[in-house]
Amino acid sequence: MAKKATENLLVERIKDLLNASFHGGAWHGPSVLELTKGISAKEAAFKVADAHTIAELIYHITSWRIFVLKRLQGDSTYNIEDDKKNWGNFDKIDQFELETLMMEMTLSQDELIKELESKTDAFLEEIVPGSEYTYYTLIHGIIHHDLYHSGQIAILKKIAKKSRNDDDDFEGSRYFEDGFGDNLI
Amino acid sequence: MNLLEKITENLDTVFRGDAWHGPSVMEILNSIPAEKVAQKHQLSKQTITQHVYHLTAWRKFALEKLNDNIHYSLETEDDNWGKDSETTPECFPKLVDDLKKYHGLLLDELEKYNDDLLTKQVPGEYYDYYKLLNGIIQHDTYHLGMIWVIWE
Repeated sequence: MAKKATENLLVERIKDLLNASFHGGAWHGPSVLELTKGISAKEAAFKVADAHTIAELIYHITSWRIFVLKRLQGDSTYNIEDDKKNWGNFDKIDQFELETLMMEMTLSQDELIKELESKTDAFLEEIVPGSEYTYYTLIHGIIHHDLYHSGQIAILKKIAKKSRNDDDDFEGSRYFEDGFGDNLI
Repeated sequence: MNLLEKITENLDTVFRGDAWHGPSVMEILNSIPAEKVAQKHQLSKQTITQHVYHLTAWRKFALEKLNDNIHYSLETEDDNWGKDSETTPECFPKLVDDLKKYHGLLLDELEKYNDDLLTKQVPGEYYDYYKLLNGIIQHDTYHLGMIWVIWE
């Protein structure tokens, strides 16, 4: 039987944080989707020094979201054991591949939310099997991980856009029109 | 451990501990070479020193709100990123000290409260302290990612 929302207030609040940081309305600034929507394949593949490309970062964000999903589903053995699984393998990227990356990331959000909805506040206190931290730490950790890499994407996107020196298919986020992703609140 | 203590612990871990997401704020700040702190990466708008100023500015904001300062806000670019004279490369050590100081003050202040704080409306704002405090942690990680790329 489905639990009532009022029974697990902390789960509900964490769900709100996860949704806001992914879709929009977060306190800190632009969400993952607000930063990544409208990126072109050229921008996603743009290389800056030793930093990972935006395509690799999107792949990486999804990889760790799947890791969290597996842990929430009770799979304590799933791991991201090599670079390819961590960052993908993109010699070049086209619009179709980018759309697939975006779709997989968005699907991971739906699955995380669905999984969270089946949990109780008491569950969040439990230690994640095979680790020393709780599910509370794990879920906040994935939000922080999303945003840490989103901050990287914010800068890379700005540099890629300027470096391309054309505006053919770029759809700039409102966060970049008057500053640098810091329209806080 | 109550929820406020969990949030406070998370705030401190992301700031200087073994954070789940990756490097903490202080791990990154302690590793940046001096010549990089005032660097603008190609066409990026802010320097690392300005990002450090910015993280402190929002901790001050939280402290002011906890002291019921309903009118306190960060309105201008200078409020958010500091004046040019406050964010020179020479200012970097002081900016990091300020960040540590206000981080400590915020932790000290939060010790005075219990979970009732979390559902209380932040004075002058439409959101509660749960959103503000979790927001500050998320804000740290978001700007940390920016700092990392500027450093690269």
